[in-house]
Amino acid sequence: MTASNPARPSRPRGDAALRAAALTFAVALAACSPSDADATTDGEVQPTGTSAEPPSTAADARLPSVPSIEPVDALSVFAERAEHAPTPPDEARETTLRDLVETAFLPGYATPRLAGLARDELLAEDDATRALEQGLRHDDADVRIQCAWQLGQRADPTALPPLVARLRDEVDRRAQLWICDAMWRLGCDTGLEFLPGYFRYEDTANDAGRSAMERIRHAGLPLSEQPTWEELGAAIVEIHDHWRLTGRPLVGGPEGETPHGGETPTSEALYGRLAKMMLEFPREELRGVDIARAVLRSLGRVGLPLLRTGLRDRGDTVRVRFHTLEIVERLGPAAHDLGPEVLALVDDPICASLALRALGELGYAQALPHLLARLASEDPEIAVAAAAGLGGLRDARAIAPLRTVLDDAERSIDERVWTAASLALLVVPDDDDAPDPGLSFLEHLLETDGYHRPTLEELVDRTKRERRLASSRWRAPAPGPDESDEER
Amino acid sequence: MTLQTSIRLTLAGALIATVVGTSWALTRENDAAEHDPAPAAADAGFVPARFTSSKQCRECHQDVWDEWHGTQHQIAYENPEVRKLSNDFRTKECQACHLPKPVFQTGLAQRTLPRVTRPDEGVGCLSCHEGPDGRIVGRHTVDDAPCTPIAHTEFVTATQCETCHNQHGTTDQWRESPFFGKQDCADCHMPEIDRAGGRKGRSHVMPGGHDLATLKAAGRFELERGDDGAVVTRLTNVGAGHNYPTEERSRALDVLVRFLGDDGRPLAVAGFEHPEIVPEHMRELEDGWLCIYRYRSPYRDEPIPNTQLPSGESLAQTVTPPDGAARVEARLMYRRNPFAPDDHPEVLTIEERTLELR
Repeated sequence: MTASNPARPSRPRGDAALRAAALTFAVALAACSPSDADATTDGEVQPTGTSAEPPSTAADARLPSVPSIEPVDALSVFAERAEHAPTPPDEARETTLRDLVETAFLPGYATPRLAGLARDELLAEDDATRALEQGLRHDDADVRIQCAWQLGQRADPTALPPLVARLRDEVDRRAQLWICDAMWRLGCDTGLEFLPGYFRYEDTANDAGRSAMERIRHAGLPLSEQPTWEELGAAIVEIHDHWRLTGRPLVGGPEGETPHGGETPTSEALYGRLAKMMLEFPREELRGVDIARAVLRSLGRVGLPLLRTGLRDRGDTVRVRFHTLEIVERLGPAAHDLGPEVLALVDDPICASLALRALGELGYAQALPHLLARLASEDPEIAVAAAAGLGGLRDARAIAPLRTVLDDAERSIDERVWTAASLALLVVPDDDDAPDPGLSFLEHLLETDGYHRPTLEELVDRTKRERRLASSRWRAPAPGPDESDEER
Repeated sequence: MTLQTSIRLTLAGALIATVVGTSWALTRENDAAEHDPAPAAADAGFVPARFTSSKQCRECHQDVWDEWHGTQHQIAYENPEVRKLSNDFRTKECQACHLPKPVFQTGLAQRTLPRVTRPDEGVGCLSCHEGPDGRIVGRHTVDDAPCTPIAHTEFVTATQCETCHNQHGTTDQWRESPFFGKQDCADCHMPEIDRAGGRKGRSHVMPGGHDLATLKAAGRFELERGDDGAVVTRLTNVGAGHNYPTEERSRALDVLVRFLGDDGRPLAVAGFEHPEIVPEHMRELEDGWLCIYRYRSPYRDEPIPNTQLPSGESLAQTVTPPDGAARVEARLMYRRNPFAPDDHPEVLTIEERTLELR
């Protein structure tokens, strides 16, 4: 038994050096001549100059240098900021507030007059927001709906974390809708992804339509006098796209009509709450970590200052930077500003592969030479991540190096599959007869059972979806959270 | 020639010179290495070769591979049940344990972190055997084995298992159990076996909740008549060093009873108050069966109590027989998916008991 990968025999080192040299040359050219990539007639974009080959192990010592960053003790910073988190009511107060919430909102619990009085009293309390947040977890969906609606009206962004966390677990479609509505009113458009999905159901269509029209008006997008569902859906998709790409809500409506003014919500209490959640990262059990991840990746740019701190952490546990990196990867282009911090992790023994993927998701162009150089890492996990990152960057200069990996039968199947998936995002044929090397490779493996089927299916689906989105925004109604929420 | 072109040509020239020089130097170094004897593993500066797949282990350890292949560990990332529950692993929180990086590298007694490669291997050889520095770890140091494993004191201990199996509290339950300090995870789930050549090893089948014999050994299920004439079912966790069932969400253990008349037909039971843990739709089942108790832990914010049965503990349920009852039957059923109906393949009948009432 040998200790080398049977799928990839060791190459003679002299050959490796020449490969490395070729890549170094290509990377340097790529770095100094960004305008040299030309489109060919079949839609494939080819870099001019040399065809780049990835380096082998011998080149690893000569990887492009990674910029250093100032390390911080993130957990101390989080602990300090967490002190500003809103204080939860004590047990007695919690009981009082729960009674008020139930009297005000639980159907049939009180007379309409008493319910009205209780609502007025509740909303006048200093800790009304905390009471309404508690109400989001009430057994009765009508109570949850009323609490979500009221939270949306209070212009207090500290309610965003519990709203996002509730949306993740909420099973009632109407409650989901009103949580999405409250979120956008507080400056978080993540829930808009699901809004068009509620157009399809009788019990949510009207409310969803009204919420959509109001959000579209705040965005300043044009609407016809009698808008169709398709028109509403298309506008909401546009607003959500803006959110996804920038992490900021799209605003442009008449002054005074935008509840949050389009500014990224900030407050020490909100940061305190988020910092408290990030203190969960080193814990062994995942539940708290998972909630923190779900919340922070749903808040666009809101969490960036804390995420920057998390990425700079060099403490004893890798989990602070790893989980921060997971959030940043999912935020994608909205977290582009964190590129330098992510790049600084590409040599981290545990975080490297995730950092390489994240650089692609962020669209951090400066990462190109770092990703190219790691395509031939002897560690398949790193090589795979570099290939995936290059797919995310969508830089045509990666096509030739990716093609070289794909055509190298000595590379592991993992590397070739992920390389093919990235190539399929970069080389999009104009017509059915044009070469489509990436997608053809994946589809061939699917037909021949040549790789883990669910992974292949996911990559093929993603390729087709991305291509469709790239050619024209897809207008089909998005499903509701009950059908597509990733955390469900 | 523009200034930009001039700079590019200068840079390219410098790079070519560097490249040629480097290549020559590396080729020379390679030639020299070919004439040197192979360095011993113990030599200072030895860089252990990195293993990248369980398939490499198979070359020498076919027997272990055969035990592991097809187990829940191997299929952890492709198991259709899991893929369904995790929405095809779009629920990212599940991936860390179902496709883990080597646990020695991500840290013992800490939750593992996810990888992407080798999805068909799930929890594979390297998940547990790849050490912090990339070398293979095992129970013993074996210098003359091709993979030169080194002994690690934490290998095959609960500390290693808990990187995944404490996510839902299983290892913590063991620490609170009568088994703690006497038997650990491997004693039940990886028993010692004899291998070819007289070697001792540990089984890599690792049976658990998918194995009927393991489930039967975990609990003692009794059906008896109380002094007041009521029927009593009792379950005692005698064999599991953790809760029965353990894990959360997807595991449920149900106690079912039904009463039969002289003619063998089921009789209705009036006035039995189902505990909250038994879902509405499970309370009265076909053919007169009543689900009288469910042992299960809540998932996320499910508003139910945790009714799993801790190690060494016992719990009884009492039902008053209806008039005319001649016989009572009881079943203990294990559901890997708590929402699955009785005839679903994910549902196992662990025990059946009958008691004549006349």
